[in-house]
Amino acid sequence: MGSAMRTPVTVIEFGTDKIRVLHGNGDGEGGALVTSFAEAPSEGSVIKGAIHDPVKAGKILGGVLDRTGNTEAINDDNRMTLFLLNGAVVNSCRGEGSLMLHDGGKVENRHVEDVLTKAHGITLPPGMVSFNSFDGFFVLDRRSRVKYPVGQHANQLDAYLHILTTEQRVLDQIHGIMFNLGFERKGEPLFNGVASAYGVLRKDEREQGALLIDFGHGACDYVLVCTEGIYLSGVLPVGVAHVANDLAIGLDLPYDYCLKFLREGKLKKMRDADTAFLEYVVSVTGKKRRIPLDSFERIIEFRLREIYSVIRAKVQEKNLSSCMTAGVVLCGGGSMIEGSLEMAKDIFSDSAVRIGEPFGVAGVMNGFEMPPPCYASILGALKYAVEELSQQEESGIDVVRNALSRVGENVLSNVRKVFRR
Amino acid sequence: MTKKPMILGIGGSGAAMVEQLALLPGIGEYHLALVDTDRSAIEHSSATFLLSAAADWGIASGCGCGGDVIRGERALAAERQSVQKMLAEASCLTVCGGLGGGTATGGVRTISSVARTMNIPAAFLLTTPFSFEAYSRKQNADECIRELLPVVDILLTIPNDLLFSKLPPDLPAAQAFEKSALEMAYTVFGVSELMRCRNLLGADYAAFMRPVKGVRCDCSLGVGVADSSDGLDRSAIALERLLASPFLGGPDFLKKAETLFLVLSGGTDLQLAELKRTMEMASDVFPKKIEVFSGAAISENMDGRIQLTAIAVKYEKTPHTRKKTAVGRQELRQPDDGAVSTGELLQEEFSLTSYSRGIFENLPPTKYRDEDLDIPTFQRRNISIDRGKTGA
Repeated sequence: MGSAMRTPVTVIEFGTDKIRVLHGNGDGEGGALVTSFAEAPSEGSVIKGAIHDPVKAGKILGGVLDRTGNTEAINDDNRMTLFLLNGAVVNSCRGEGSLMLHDGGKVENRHVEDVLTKAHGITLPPGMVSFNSFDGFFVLDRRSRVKYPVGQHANQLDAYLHILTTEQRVLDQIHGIMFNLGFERKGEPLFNGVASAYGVLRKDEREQGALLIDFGHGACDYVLVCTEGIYLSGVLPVGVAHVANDLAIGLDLPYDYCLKFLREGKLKKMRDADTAFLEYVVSVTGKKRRIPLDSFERIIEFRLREIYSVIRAKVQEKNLSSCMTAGVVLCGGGSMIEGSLEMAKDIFSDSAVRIGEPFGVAGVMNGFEMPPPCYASILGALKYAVEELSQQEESGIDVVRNALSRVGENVLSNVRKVFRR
Repeated sequence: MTKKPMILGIGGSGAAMVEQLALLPGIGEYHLALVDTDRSAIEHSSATFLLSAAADWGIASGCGCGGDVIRGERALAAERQSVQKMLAEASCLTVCGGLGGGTATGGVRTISSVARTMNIPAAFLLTTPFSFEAYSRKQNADECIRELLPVVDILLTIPNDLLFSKLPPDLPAAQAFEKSALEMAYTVFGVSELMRCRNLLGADYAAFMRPVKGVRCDCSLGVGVADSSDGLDRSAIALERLLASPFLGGPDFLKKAETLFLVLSGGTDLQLAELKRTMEMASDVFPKKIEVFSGAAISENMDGRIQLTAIAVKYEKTPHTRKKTAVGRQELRQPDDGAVSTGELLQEEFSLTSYSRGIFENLPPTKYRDEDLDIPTFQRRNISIDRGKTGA
């Protein structure tokens, strides 16, 4: 665990609210270290998690890269570059492979490789590519669900992978932006929800099963992790921006004002101060409008309830509620909205619910203006990269380069174990 | 002051119920509270806790809401701190009132919000308007129920029509309303006894909440009271009176009911045999398909008396939905599965409401189950919001 752990890593996040760049590396002891960080408002170039204006996004990213002070090093031979993918353009599917065993029934590594190759052999519509694949689980003789089948006896081995897909043009767009900024090598895509899961889920939660909801500005990502595999993931393109938009429309207030109201936690502060009304000065007339705080509360409550109800319905549709033994973990800026945690507890009334904060990351944190759950994805991506690099060093397989060309190659190395021991 | 269970009446109907409650034996175990925008109702009330919320009419302040839901909402919102102070004395809460007007319909949201914030278990027993009343009152009541259902644990709605459907037609109106308030008071008392958790039969707040949480239901209620002067078999007499209760809805309603809450309240002289006999007789009387939740509560103030309270619950099936497309055109109302189609022709309506998408105006919609999630949730649920008042 030497040189690979200290391999520099760059993570780029095209968030609906902010475009962020983080540089870091492993700390040599299994943790991650941030060496520099910068962010800037995306100014509408990213909407609902997906890039809407690539030219503007590229310009902003360039400025952010300059501020990290590390522009010249981005083409270091050893540097690993990740970019987070989000938005309605991300889909998931399940890859399934099946293998009959004829050699005495004991599962060996080659059997696992064969069945994973089959599982990875999904047919995608034209224009779609898979960009991440993760362990789901293995099933022996259609009866027993296991995590590690090697050495066990069975007549039939089934493998289930969780495969994330997107449109080729989306990846090309991001690679184009990065190329224009001087990146000579293509970065590696990582689903935003998986990055957040890396950032905030504890080991016991990953083992027992937990639903991670990253409530972001433009979209909510959700990932159900169980026995260190991914059972379900998705993106609901509704986020904090929708909550602010609802307030703006419902109360006839400027959108930015409503966003600030949410970010500064003004509802709670005013309630604590026993204020019942918000006095808003209409700029044109100078007159004051007294708006009951109850109206804010109601609008926010309706939207939060809907968001969590939709995600819950998605889990129930797949009959995976029993795989959430450890409960629900919220992160992202939306988890900090007043009433968000309580609403999640109400909707997921059968499960424990908590707000997750990134852990296992140290270093230069003074660039972070907002509370830690907002940075779960970018910090989680750094942890992911550090862990991948340590696996690379252990296995000797270079799994970092040319992410898009790995389909059909040695699948065992291509399938990322989500959280190795 | 020590914390006790609280019964809170809201609005004009709530005030009438509270007045009847104040006369019931056993009410000493409770705090009685009244919240109203009508100052005269507050001045004449026997409740311990009184809150006069002023609906802003200028010189007519303190004269009620005039059926204006927004004014009722604002009046209670302005008194949120006072409501909090009042509810600080409550260990659990039963709220009673009549929906359709201004004070209860607008103000009950604030009560539920405060109770939730303070983690006080709360049950809401609210009546809904008569069918002959203005359509707007029914709409106000429906909107309030739609909004309350996801956020309260127990919401039981009692149609006013049911309250008077079984009374003799020649009964003087004043007596009819008084009887209605008395029956409601007995029922509120019976429900509150169940929540007081000095319960012998295991049906506690959680058991009460489970079948009705988040589900719209119409209820009928029956109360039978008997005391020692009625003879040895007071349990049979109480049951008889309960079944004769005009507000139970009779066999017609009971046939359609799916759940029944049965609460026996008695004093320290309530015997085991009496308890067993009463519950067995009651179970035999009601249709077998009804799921029965039984509770028995003991209070020293009920010595010598027993009260049998029954609340029959009929769940409303998934309501007929009106699907609105993004351009505001409504599709024909479709009856849901299980509903009996009457073959009735339905008049389509064009919605004149245009929905704003705000910052998402020129973007592709985010679709989920035929709804555009970029349109504010409260708009899609047809909830009206108080935008506040502009001052001078």
